[in-house]
Amino acid sequence: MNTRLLVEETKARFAHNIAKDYLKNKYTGKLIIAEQNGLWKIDTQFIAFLSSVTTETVVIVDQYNNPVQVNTKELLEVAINTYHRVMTEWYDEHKKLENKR
Amino acid sequence: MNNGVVLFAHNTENYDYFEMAVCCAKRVNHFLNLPVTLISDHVTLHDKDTKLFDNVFTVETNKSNQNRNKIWINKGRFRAYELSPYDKTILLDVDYVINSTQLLKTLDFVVDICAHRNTQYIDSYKSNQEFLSTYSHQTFWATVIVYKKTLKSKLVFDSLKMIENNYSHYGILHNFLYQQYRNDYGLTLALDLVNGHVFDESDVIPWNLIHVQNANRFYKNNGDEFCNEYTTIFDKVYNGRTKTEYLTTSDMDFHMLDKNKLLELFQ
Repeated sequence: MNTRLLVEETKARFAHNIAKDYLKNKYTGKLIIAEQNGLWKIDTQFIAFLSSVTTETVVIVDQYNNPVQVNTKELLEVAINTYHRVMTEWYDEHKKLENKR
Repeated sequence: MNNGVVLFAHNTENYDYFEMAVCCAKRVNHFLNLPVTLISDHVTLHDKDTKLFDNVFTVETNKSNQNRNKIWINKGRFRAYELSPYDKTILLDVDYVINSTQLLKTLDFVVDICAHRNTQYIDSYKSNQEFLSTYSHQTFWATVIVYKKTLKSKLVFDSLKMIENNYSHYGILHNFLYQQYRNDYGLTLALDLVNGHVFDESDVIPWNLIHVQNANRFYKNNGDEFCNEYTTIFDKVYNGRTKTEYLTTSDMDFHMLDKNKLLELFQ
């Protein structure tokens, strides 16, 4: 079945606001990682905090509200890599959807 | 660690749950690369090819539940704990469509047991969450339950059995309609009981369960068996005027509420 033809025949418009929300749903899930016995939501604040820590280890409260002692450098590296990968995918898909009519 | 997926499939006169389980198992193998155990019954499995499944268990069915005046065999879900051969299990409803590897993450962070609590409809950006009743708990969804074989998980499934057997009591207590048994409500109450009426964040899968509603026109974007790109067309009312809109999605799992549509898509 050709979905493009179906969309044209029904004269459907692309739902931009819902698409933005769909992307948010999809990629926020991908930004959650389980590392060093904790569950972390990777965002700019999390990365900024880890970057500012000068000690080898630090205790942070994870998504399940458990204090977890982590190796700062190792968690920061995983967080930055995950952030770059997922946000690049999010941005690319956002750009693709933005051009739809 | 030995990980795997458990599916329940009991055919009714309305729906072929075995076929749905086959579609689901193929996608589990393809996207998650995990073994699948099927829990079914002799009537459903009669003349069926079950080679796709790593284990098949047959159980007695409880036909005392109804959905729209038709028999709906959804009781007995508590047996998933004892029958699962895995250390970590993903118990899936067969109408959950896997399109990504996202569920594998749950195996990394599950403490004892976890399930979805927050949901969203694919065609809306504000979805109301479901509660047992106005003054009761927010509902967990039994569509995806991930559990380890721990004491807490065992207690949750034991409680699920007890709640299933005394469902009307809990219906009266929490002021919900108890004529139709729902595993979602059973799970919500079981987790609440086992946690000592205290909310435990580690019971929650920390992303939304996406529902595709019955009213959506929903299509695969290509003919691949393991297609993970879809287009949904739906009507929205703006200022009293109905407008037809569409959305394309990819690489995102969803819960298909329309069983007929599910078989149409994947058979």
